[in-house]
Amino acid sequence: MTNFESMLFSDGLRVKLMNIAMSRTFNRFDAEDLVQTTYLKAIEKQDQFSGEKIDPWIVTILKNTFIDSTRKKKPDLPGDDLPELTEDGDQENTLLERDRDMCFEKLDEVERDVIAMKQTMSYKEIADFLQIKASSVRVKLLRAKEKFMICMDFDND
Amino acid sequence: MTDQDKILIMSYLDNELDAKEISEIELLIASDSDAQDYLNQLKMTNNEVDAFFNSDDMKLLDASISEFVESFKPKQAASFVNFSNVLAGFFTPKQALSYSFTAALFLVVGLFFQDLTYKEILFDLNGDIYEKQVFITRGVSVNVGLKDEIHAMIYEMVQNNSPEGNLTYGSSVYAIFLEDKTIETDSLNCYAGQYFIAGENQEFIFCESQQDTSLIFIN
Repeated sequence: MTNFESMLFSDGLRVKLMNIAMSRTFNRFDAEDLVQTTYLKAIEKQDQFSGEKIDPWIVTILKNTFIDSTRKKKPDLPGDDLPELTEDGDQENTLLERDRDMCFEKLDEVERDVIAMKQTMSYKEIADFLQIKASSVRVKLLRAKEKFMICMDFDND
Repeated sequence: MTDQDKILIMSYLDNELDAKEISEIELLIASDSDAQDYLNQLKMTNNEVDAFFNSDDMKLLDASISEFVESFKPKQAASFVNFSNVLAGFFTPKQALSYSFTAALFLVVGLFFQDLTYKEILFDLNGDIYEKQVFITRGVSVNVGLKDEIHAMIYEMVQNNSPEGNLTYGSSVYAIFLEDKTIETDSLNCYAGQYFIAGENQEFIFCESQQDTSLIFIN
């Protein structure tokens, strides 16, 4: 494998791409399409890669691909976002998952990105990635979590 | 409680504090009920965020993306590395020992390249449901024997051309499905599938060569 392929196919990058894709699409199948398309575009455009850090380069490809796909995507039909009917015992979990997804969706893209990145990266790594100070990462992450916390009504427990 | 305290509590839960900061924040949490409440609220928040990124959907996504990446590696190695090396060799007189040698290289790489180039793999199992019953004998570890029995069952399903099978193992019934053929060469065939037991599923990849078989559990 070339150096480019070693970086591209690393486990760490795969998880990062999955987390960010899922935090954008909220749908496994859309996230799968998004990540696979990103890999294919990265291979196609490998000549444009400067050879330093691959993560920011490929995450940019993913974000642009997502923007393109949302432009092309038809609007959802009314009722598409209703929870699926399940067995009684699963209903509570389904509603909790629905609340979780809805609250996550209410965050803006930067807040979602920071939360998604924190799953696999340290504050310093996120700061290097976003080219901001680590202290700014902490503030953005705290604001994102507080917004999520209030939406989930955890602040009143 | 200040915003700085909140940031320190969050950093404490994220394991991002040094020893001195940990001492300070543990002192605050022990002495301030608001800080204690905020710690608990952040814990609940973190649990839900973690649940989002570790959901069943994410596990299935990981399995499919891993499979995609793995299947892609050899194809890229063949098309991007070898072909360009051979081209470079052909047009560089010092490296071309003879035209016959270069022609042979082209032939070998051409065959190799053709073998790895993408082609659609058709799912070829279309037989009836395969049924099997295994009785558990005393003294045999259930968990140790189970994977071997599932492995044997899948092998027999492939031999019998069955995409579906029911394995009765002791009192449990495992519904096994072979859903996709992921690799097909002269020497190796692989199938992706999953089995279900009591509402839980387990994804797997089964491969068989002329000499051996393997079963890998994914999630």
